[in-house]
Amino acid sequence: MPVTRHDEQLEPFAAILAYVLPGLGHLALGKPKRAACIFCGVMGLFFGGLFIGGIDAVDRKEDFWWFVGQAGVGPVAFVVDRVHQNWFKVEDESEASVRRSMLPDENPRNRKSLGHPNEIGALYATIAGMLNIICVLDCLWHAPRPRPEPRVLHRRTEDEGAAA
Amino acid sequence: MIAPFFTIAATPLPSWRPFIDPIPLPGATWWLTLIPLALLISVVYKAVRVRNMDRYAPKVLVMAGQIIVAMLLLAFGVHALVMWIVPALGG
Repeated sequence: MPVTRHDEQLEPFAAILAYVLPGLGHLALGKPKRAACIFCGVMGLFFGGLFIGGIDAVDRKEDFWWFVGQAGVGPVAFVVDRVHQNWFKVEDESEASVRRSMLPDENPRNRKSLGHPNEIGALYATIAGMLNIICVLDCLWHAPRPRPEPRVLHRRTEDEGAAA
Repeated sequence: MIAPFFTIAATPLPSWRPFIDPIPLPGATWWLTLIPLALLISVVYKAVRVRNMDRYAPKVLVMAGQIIVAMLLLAFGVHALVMWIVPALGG
């Protein structure tokens, strides 16, 4: 049976859960398999971005527009950015309240991500955020999908009918 | 002018630490990262999109393949435009 707009339900609580942790919204809606796939996919992309580009791939100050997309992953993106800003950057003496990446002769705590690794890492994390926004919207306007069990039961009935 | 550059280059850097340092991608292998990217995009998109989860994995693989083939065709098209068509037009 086709799903119409009348079947859609507004689920703001599930949408909030989906933003807090990718997949949690679908889990709350009783879709554990979808939830697991979303969690693995979004987190795989986000941490895949960190794996390729290093922690420098998530930087709210230096790569603001990339971070706008990355923020869609939820609190995880903000925590990673916070760690990056506070643990891997230093105060800039020339400008007050500005933090900058450490220079190579300052014994930096991480290597600056440049070129392809930086671009690809930021792209992975940003796509993760944008996909999670799709998942949040899917939870917000949730259309109940047909479950496979009734169809299997129906097919069995047909088989039984043919056998009879 | 050269001395500070050598001072910087001589600073000892720790070995690669996953999730902290950027991965040392050798040469032109960076484009291979397209494959897991396409696969993971398909995993999430199909998890939202499909009506039921029957035959989910084949659908994911088909979509990932479509993305990779499309990107390869796009790359070939741009390569042909830049390397062959534009020089031919330029005379």
